[in-house]
Amino acid sequence: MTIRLLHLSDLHLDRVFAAMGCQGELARRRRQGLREALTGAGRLAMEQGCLAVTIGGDLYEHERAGVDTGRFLAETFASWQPMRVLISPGNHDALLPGSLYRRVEWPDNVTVFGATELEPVELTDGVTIWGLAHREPAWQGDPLAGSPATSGSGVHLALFHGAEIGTRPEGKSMHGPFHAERIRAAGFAAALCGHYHGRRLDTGSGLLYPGTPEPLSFDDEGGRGPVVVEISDSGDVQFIAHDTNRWSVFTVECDAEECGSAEAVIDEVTMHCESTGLGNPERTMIRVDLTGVIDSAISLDAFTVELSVRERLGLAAVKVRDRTAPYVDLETALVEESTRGAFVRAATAAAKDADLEDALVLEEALRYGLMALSGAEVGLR
Amino acid sequence: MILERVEITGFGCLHDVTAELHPRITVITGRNESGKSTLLRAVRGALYGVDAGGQGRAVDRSDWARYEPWNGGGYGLALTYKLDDGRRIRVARRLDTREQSVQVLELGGSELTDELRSGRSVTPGRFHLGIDEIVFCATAWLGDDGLRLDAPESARQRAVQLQEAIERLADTRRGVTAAQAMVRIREAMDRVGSERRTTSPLGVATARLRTLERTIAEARTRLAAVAVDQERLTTLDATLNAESERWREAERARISGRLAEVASRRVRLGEMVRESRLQGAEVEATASYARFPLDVETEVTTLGGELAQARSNATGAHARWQAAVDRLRPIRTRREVIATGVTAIGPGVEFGNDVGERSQRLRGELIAVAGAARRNGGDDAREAALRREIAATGLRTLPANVIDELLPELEAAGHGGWRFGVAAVLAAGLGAAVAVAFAHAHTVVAAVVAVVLGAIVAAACAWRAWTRASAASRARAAATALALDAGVDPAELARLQDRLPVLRTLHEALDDAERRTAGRRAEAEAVQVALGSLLERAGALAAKAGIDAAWRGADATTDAAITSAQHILDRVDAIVHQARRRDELVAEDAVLAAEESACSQSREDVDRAERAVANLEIRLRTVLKAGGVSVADADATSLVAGVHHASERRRSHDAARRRLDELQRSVLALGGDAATLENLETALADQLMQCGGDPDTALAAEPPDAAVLQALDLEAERARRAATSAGDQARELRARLGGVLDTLPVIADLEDERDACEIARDRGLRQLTALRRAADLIEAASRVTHREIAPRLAESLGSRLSLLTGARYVEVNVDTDHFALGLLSRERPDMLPLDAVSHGTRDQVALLLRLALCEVLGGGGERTPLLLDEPLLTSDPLRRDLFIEFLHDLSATHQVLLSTADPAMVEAVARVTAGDCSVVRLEDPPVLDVIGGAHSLGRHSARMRLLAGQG
Repeated sequence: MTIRLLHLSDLHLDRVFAAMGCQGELARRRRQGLREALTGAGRLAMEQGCLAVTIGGDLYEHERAGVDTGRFLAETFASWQPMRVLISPGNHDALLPGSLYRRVEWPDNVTVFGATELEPVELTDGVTIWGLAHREPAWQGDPLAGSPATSGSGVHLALFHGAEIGTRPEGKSMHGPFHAERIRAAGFAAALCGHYHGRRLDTGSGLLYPGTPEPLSFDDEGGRGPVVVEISDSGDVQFIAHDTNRWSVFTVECDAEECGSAEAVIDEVTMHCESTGLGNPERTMIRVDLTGVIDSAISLDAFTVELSVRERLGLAAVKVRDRTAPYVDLETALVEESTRGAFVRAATAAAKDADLEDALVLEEALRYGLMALSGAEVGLR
Repeated sequence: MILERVEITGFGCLHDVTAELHPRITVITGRNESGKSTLLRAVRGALYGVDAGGQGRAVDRSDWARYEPWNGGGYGLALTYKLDDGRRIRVARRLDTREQSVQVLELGGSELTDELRSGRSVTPGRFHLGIDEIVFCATAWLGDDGLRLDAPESARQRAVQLQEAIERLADTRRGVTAAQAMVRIREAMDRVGSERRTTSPLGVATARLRTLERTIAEARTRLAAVAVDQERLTTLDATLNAESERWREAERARISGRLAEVASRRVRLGEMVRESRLQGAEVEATASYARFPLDVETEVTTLGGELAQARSNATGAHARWQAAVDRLRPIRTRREVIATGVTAIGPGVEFGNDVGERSQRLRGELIAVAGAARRNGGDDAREAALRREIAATGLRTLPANVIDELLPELEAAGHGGWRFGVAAVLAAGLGAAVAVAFAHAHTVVAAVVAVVLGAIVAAACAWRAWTRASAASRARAAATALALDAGVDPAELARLQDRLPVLRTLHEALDDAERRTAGRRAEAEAVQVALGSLLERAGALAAKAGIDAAWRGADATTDAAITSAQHILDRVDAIVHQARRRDELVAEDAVLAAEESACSQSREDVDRAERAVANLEIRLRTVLKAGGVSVADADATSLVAGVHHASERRRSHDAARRRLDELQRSVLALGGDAATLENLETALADQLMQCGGDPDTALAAEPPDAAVLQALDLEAERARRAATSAGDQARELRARLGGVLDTLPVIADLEDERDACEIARDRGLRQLTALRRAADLIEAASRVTHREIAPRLAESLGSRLSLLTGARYVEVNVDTDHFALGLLSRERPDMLPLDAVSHGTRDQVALLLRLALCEVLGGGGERTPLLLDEPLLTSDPLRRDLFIEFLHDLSATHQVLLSTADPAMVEAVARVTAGDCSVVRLEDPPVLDVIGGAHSLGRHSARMRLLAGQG
């Protein structure tokens, strides 16, 4: 008989979304969306006849999780009974004093792992889940250290929050580092992990990162959702991903070089945003990288573009990264005997010797100066 | 640069137009919309290209789109001009496409297209004039606004406009001065605001951020407190659960105890009721004995006991009397025998008890003495035997000491040296044999050595044999002497010398025996003494025992003495034995006499006992009668038994009554009736079941006592209070939390807003920083540029102005800030601002300033032609003529192209220039008039007519 589990991680309940340009009502809708993702995962698990739901950490964000979140989780998990819920706390929901895991009265079907070493919980005859917990926000231990007693019969699955060293994304923190090659060597058929927000299903090594069930940043494009783990009678383990996300994010690049006015830029951006297909605009967030060399006389204001495009398309959010550069005939400007020429020369020379931060300031100063010297209203970005 | 010809294939309203241009002044005239400006625009287009839009500029609003040929035909133009160095250049542009194609040829030379390319454009004007199109437009090109001499603006305004124009050119080559740019920058900074200005976006963001930080800190504090309270509530709930459970357990225990106790009471009540019935029956059954006097029982019992005892005594006395009677006969018989015996023994002599003991001691001594006497006799026999053996050896007369001397001598005499003699002979023989052998082996040396060695050994042996023999001889002589001294024949000695060791041994044994014998004699003397003493003591003892046995044989032998002593002691022992026997008999007799006496006593005991029994019976009856008990003829034993029985019944009755009363009291104490207890038991069982207990188990348990029940009650009460207290605390905390939970801020919302404010603030600060930086750079650039340009403008302007104004104005000052002009005239010492000079001077200065700008900004290129599009819109002929004169003078160095729709203007130019000019009439077809002097006719298009000298 095939045994099924549903694995999810990195839900990050109570996350802030200001970095995505969301606040107020929109941010609240996003957070509600995260809760809906959890309840949806439970529904999927029950439809699939899963024996348990495993959560690989970062279920909520400790700094912001409140009483209401604890209540929501307890009620949700209770409604899943008799299906079990096994939780391995991660770095954002570490088992600290004051943690929700300590002060919420969890229903009987919930198991929260508490030690920093893998401990077994027999799920059913022949299937054992080994889980551990982060007990501090920056735990550097190896989840697969030690020698768990996996030599017995049956299928052993590891459940933990950790950073697989070989595939660490740029800039991602190193919590719970481990090597994928150690999974099978330690006697586990698979490692149900959390921490990386991108989905990764590697049946060869047994490594599973389901990714975030809803996009948490503009980099989280594409389908997202939990993964069903199937264990056959012979002990083979398969991963089946399900795209259940209701929110979508896109990043589009828009060249404004051919645009002669701010209005034209807005039109161009609108067209590029429409090209994503939109789907459900009210749950779509688009980041626009505005590029190209444009006339300094065009007063381009990123906020205005965001507002206009959002209103035109009914999108949840539009975030514009203004990467345009003012049109400067540098060759002419460098020799031009005028204040403008002298300004360009001075700014360019200063930028050559400046550090990165100052160089960015000078780049902006050049942009604003050229706009001003062209007589146009200085468009801020 | 002198422009020579313009050829237009199609450009705006013009098509197929060729205009030859005068080297000094060319007037382009025509009605409105005839293409005058278009022609001038075409010249500019030839020099600098035609902007086709793109890179942020709308194509449809570009000049390329604007000047598309109206008739839809070919789109192109060409310009031929001569440089100061005499080279003639032709620029041809095909404008059919946005990309445009251009060809620049040096007529009579090579193609210069690529040499004059700047980026994607080919701009011969920029290379040859040294100024870009913007400067050209601002300086060499005088557009629609023109120089309106009678324009409504005041002089001041126009001066200001001029300054602004210079500033614009100097600053941006466009229509923006650095000051205006700074205004834009400041406007942008105003839009951003500052952190302190709370009405500005930055100020709002900063203030809001501060507020949010505080709010978030407070919210976190509240949440932390709530978390602590929640944990505490969890603990309280756990405590409440535990205390409630303990309360339930205590309550179960209490109710179980009560139930068991009530059940036990009910059972006991039932037992009591049953027992009450039994006791009641007993009372009834013994009612007849209710009045029996118990007080007589004691006495009756006592008397009865005494009576029984007396009877027992009497019985015993009778039995003893019978036994005594049986024993009396043999006692008497025996006594008679004893008397006979004692008589036979007779009276004894009194002697002490130690006589027998002393006799025994003496006997022991006698035995020891006798033993010693026997041992002395044995040693003499042994000595005699040894002497006989010595005599048997034949050397009797040899004393022991002589034997000791003889033995070594005889031994030494036996050790002759004959063995050494034999050894010598053998050694010599052996040596010789070996020598012979070596000699045969031709080993001479070895043979010699063998001989020598054999000789040596033989000599040694021979010497030894001689010494031995000598010693033996001397020993023989000594032995002979000794024998003779001892009176022994030496030959006999030699024959019997083998017996000498045995003889020595016998002598030693004899010596030893003689020594012992000597010792024994002393002992024998001592024995004699001892024996004498013993006899004396024995005699004394016998005397004590009344025996005459004194020892008179002082000279008798030892054996006789011993025998006498034994006899005495025997007699003493016999006396002692007799005395003992008599004593035994006497003692036995005494015992028998006592027994006989005791038997006699038994008879009296019987009589006494019988009398006691009778008395007791009388007393008993007396007591019973006194007690009112009928005695009838019953015997005493029956009477006593009857009294006992009645008393028992009476007591039983009383006990039953008492017990019954007790039971009744107890029943009351147990709570009344069984039905009540049963109801109570049922109620308790129900309560227990409600508490989760098992009534059957409670009923099966041992009922607790009162102390235990009280303890259970106390425990239940304590548990109840603890549970209630925990419940109250939990309730209170829950209520407090409930009120707080609803008002808790959502940290995520606050942090979202805070992050957004932070982003806005950071963005504002970043923008401010960049804007300030831009402002600083612009100001610095402006200062530097103005300081560079102003003096050069002043110089360029000044040199030309003096010339063109007839030295009326000799010097020009240009302010470095805003290029305000000041003119120094000969007439006054101070500098005149431009608005203070005449219109004409102002106009001249304006034009000269443009040229000066061309020079300064052009960096030494060709002399720039002036393209004046409708510059003189004036009705003042005087001023107009003055201006034209000025232009004419100016045209000596700078070519002038002048457009006008006013025919009077054309005439004035012709007049002032005395015909040294060209007039291009743009009609359909356009016409070129060449008025005046030498002017080479250029190439004409088919649609052009020459009016001068027409033919």
